[in-house]
Amino acid sequence: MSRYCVEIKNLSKAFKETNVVAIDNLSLNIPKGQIVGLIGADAAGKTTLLRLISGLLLADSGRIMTLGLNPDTDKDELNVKIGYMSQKFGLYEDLSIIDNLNFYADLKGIPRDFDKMLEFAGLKRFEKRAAGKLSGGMKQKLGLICALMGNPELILLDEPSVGVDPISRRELLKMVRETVKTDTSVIWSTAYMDEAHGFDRVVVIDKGRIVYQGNPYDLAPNAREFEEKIIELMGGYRQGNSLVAQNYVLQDSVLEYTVEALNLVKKYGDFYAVKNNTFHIKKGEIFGLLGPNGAGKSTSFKMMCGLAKPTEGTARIMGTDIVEQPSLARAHLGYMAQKFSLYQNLSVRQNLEFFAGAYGLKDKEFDEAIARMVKVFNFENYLDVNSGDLPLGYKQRLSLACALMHNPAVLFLDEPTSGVDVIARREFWNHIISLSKKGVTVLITTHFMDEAEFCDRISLFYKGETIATGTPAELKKQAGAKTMEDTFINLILRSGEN
Amino acid sequence: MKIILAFIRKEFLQIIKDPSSLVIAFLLPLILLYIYTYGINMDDVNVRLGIKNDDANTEIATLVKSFGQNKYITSGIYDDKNALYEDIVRSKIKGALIIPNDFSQKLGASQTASVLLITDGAEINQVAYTQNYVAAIMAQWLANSRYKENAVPSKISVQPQYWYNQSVNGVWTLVPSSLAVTMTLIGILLTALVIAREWERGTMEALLSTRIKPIHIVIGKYVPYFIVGMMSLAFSVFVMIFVLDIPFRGSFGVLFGVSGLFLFACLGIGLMISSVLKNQLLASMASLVAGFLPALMLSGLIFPIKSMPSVFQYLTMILPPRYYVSFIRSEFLSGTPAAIVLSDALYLFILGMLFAVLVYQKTSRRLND
Repeated sequence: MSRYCVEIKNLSKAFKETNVVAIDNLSLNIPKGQIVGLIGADAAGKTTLLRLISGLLLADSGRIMTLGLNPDTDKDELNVKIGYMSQKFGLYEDLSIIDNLNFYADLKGIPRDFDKMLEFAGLKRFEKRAAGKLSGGMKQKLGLICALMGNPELILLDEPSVGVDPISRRELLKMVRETVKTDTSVIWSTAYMDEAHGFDRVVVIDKGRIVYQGNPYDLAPNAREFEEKIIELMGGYRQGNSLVAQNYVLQDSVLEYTVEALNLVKKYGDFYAVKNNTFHIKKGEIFGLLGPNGAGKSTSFKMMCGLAKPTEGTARIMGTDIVEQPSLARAHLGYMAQKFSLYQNLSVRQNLEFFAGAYGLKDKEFDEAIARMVKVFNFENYLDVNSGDLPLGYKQRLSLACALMHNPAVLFLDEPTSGVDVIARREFWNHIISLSKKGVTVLITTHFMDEAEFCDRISLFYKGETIATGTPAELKKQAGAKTMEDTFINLILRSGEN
Repeated sequence: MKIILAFIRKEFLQIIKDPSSLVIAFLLPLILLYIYTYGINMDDVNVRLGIKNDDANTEIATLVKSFGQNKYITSGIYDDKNALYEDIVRSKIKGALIIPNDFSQKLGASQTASVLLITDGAEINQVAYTQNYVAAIMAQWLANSRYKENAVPSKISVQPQYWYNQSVNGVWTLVPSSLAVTMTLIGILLTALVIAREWERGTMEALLSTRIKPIHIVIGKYVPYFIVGMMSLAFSVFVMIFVLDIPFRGSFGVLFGVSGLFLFACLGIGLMISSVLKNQLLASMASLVAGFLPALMLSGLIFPIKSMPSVFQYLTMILPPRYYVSFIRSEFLSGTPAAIVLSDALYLFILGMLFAVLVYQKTSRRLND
């Protein structure tokens, strides 16, 4: 028996439709019985590699052996031995949790016994609820249970923690650590460097090649330095002036508070999604909304930009009431939704053109706005690619580009960096911070605790209510914690106890 | 086997949780039956006719009167020509009959006397009805009028006899054949979305990484929708026979047997569309074009196949509805003529198997097959 769960030699894979070389003459051996983090920039080839390992895709050339089997010829035999969770989790949204589990258990030919897992994941009391009605973190846990089911020898997880709050992320990792046997191998692709730093081994992949593999501690003793090292390995990021901010034309305003939420309430039946939310954001401030999945952040967001009608209260954008004059208020606003909400079957260029037109830009302004966005976000090679086929990180960039095009004075960004790689996130925050220095007000939600540190002020949100507001330093002090992640967890747990 | 059962159970759960498939299976047939029974009338229709009589002769007044007494004509008398034209333009009347002032004079002189009949040429069926009604009423009037010696008695006559549908009731042929449209819609619409949905929601990727095989997926998709389709068929047949009183002279065994073959072929088309396009929106559009329209227009249901251009006649041969319409008409109205049923059933079976093989081949084992 080989001591490797995956053996790859000179593997290559290109996609004809987009002319992208996803895997480029890659050789890699992954030892058995470890949790291996797969790290890389967007479109680096992480998903393709996982699919090649599982036999969902076939390579163009090279050799690959998974658990001693050839994924090309022995796929049926291999399928029984692996548990795979794709980025879309593979859940039937109209079926309940228990129906989904029963189905996958029957497919895998294992007993329908998941009480322990459900209990462990905190899903037991929701087992009759349709999977589509679960929060992001709960869906991920359910998808993970489906992948872990039946003790597969190899577990492949494609970014299982995208868009998941720190508490749920810890739970996901705990679920994996505590349920897999010691000889089980796990390959876990992730964009969270702190998460990857905790794994037994990391494989860093860039442009379809391996740039590092080994113990994360050999690279750096802590998550922060680890992130710096990874960025270095992936070609480095030189912080320059943000071209976006440089070209930004901001209208003058004498307002002190550019964004205000006044007693916002949203009720669905008897359920309060948002309870009496009030805050005032100063011009040029970066204001972060933090909270677990399902805390009501997105609902608050939607009310603030007039996409959902508040049950009570209102919000003012640049002094304009969003309930009374929604279109006027929205004209000041650039909004980036959590779900990718651009036209998937239009190309990048067509999407940019559409939004430029929708914002009423004309002639020279129109052309300049598009040229500027193409330049600052590096869309040159993707102009004619349908936006639905873009790698996740590029989708996010395109969403940001479309939100910024009309030089709005206020930016609402709902989890803009979910699924975006470290370098793209650095670049993204460079833009955001530069824009705020120019006087653009930013309201942002995020699950990356390191990003929370970039905010001027943070409001911590839990079960529809604000449980703490202040600068990152103030919140840390209040929670008696050193890191932002511990701050988050302490404050949430403390509020849960009350 | 266990895998297939698990898959079928999952499909049924999805059908139950998603009311739209039950609407397609049971409400849609009802709506279609209602339309075919009451909405589409190919039998005689009532025509609104405007009459302007310029002939003051009293005998001609009886002609005008006889129009008023006919049950197929609703007539209105006009004195002003412009008012008459205006009502035609506004579609208040469907035809205008103008009797010239020398009409009786010519009749009296045994010359050919003409009337002017204006109809809307855009409505072809209506034109034919109107012409036939007017000609018949005038002939009848002539035979009983003062000028009857001008009427040439015909030496030959046609004695029509209608087989299978003695009263030439359009509903009797149209409603049973509409099963072809209903079943096509159900067969194709129900399935066109189901594989595409698995691709769109990412569940296909998850399925392909389990030990499920394409054959399991294919059987697991056919069986549940076949059962739903047959239930829907039974429901439609029940409504037809017991609610709409359509005569049924065939055998239920043969009816359900051949309908099953037809449904099998339709499900194949739907699943093929779904697995090739992998996109729900495209698949639903394609199922309309590939399913509904041919069933309506190329099946012989409304337009006789023999009168189509030859290209279309050949095209109909690979379309299941053609064989089904032919079968269902004879099954309802004349019993089970072995020759027709066997050949239709054979063709449906061949097409069904052909589609099933194609579906199997199009069901991927990997993401980029």
